[in-house]
Amino acid sequence: MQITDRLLIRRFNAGDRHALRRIYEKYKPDLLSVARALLKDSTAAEDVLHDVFVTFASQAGRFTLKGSLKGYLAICMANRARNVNRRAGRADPERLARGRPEPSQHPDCSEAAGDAEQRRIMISALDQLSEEQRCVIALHVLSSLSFREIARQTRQSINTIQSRYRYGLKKLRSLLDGQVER
Amino acid sequence: MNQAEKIKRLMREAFRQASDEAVTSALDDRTLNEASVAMRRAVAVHQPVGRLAIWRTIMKNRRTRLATGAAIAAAVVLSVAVMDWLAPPAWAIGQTVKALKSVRSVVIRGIGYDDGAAAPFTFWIRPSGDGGEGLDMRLECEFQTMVVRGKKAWMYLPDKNVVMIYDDVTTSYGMMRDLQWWYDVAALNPWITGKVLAAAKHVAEDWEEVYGPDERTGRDCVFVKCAYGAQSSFWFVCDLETKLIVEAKYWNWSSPDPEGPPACHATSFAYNEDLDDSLFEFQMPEGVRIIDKGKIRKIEQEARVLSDRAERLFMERKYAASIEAYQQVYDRFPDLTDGVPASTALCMMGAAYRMLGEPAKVVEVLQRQLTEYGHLEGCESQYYSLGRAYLDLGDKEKALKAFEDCLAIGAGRHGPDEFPLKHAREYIERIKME
Repeated sequence: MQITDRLLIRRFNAGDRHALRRIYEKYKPDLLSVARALLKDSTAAEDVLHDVFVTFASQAGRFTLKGSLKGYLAICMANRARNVNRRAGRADPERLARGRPEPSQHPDCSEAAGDAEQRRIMISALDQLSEEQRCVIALHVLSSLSFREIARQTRQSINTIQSRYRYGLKKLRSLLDGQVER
Repeated sequence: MNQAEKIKRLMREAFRQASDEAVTSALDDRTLNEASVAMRRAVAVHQPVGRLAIWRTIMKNRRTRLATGAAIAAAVVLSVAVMDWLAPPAWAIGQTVKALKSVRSVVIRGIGYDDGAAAPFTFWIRPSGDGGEGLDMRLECEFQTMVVRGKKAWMYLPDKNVVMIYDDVTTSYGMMRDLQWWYDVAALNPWITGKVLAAAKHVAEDWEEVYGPDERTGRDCVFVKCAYGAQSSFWFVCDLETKLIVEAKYWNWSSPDPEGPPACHATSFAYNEDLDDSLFEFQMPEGVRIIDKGKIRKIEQEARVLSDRAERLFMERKYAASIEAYQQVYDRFPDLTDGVPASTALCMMGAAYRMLGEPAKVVEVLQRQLTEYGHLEGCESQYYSLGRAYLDLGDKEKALKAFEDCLAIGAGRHGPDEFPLKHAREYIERIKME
């Protein structure tokens, strides 16, 4: 764990609101990115961020951590986003099993004039991945978590995590075939 | 750039840009406010030792102890509503709640106890005269005068000839912390609201009531005992005719036995007296030293900005620049007590010097940190880092001493297999084997 995080957690455990704010401000951008990558609805992503931090705060006074704080919070975000998706039916096995979309459904980068469109394309592509693949890619790319950290936090083997990432990225390449060459 | 890298870049651009746009201050406020409340509750529940430490810090000072006691005596008026759902038909406490709703002011007189020494106080309370949220309050006793008007507060300590000004009691720390806790509840609405009921229902316990005449007046009353956790107990008397509280006692950690003397005894409650506005206007005594807590908060914000910059530099591995920034934090804000940024700055300078491979400098800043801030909790980590630096310098004797200090100070604060105790123990074993 980073020394700054260790100091922050010590102050957080003592009930220091400034420490809580520092933690929030420090990790909010990455965490919100992860949530937005895993959820279609940006409001839902913000709700997940809110819920994760309130839950995290409720552990003050007894919070202990062996890995990185960012890793812990990012995994919390991913888990909660997964629950939201499951409740919303996004993780419907049939839907996930659809695989590669028809050509007409292909994300088209030519439409990506704006950021919103670019995001829609990425979400559309990510949506075709399995939940596990999507999660590992979001954590690694958007939250800069190492495979080792993801493996530790999710209690999976590092090989499993790396495989999910590799196959997920391969599928993304396939889905976005030709689009990212520009 | 290969295709995989392009996909990653696209992802970062898509979701990070979107994140920045979506992050509103409303989200921050909502999240941080609710998280702060959750943190405060959790610390109170999960860290009784820490909570006790706060109480002891406050209560070892006679004047803050009295202020806290008086504030809590007033809180009885509010918290009595807690037991609504437990009250038997003979005395529906909802009636008291209803009676309190028509209260325009309360004047509480009583005695605060400090190691057996009694200190009489008077406490005036009314809904904010400015029509805003919260309360106007004035506390007077031998050791202090405190005036709270809306969110602003003045605390005069005659023996120190100091007036402390708080621009917002709902966000102030330190001496006003407990007042703030209570104020948070009161500020929901002066006197009783359903919110208070709902919030307080979760914490009251050991309800007990006895009916009989009040020895002082002969009037029929109900005598109620209740507790808030193991450390706080209330006893109060409610007049069965007026439904209002007429007497209350409060016990805390310093006198937890409800059979023993209380920390505070509110001997009389006078309702609906006409309170002059001037009562809630603070008259600044001549020649006092003024400590403006609002200005201090601004300074704290400056310290935070500079600390953030130093930390960013550290994270970017620009250690020399980070040290320079942390040095500024240490030089400019040596006396800030909230978060103690100067102490953190020294710790971080030690870490940065270590990254630069300058153990002598590590020793220098950590020794300074321990000399000036060694009384703060968590210094065992600095002893551990000091031991590492001495090892880097080849001084095993001093390293051993530092690691042993780490173990001694950290015992009870950390598990034996947690950082830094586990690591210090391993180094000790290694040094002894060599």
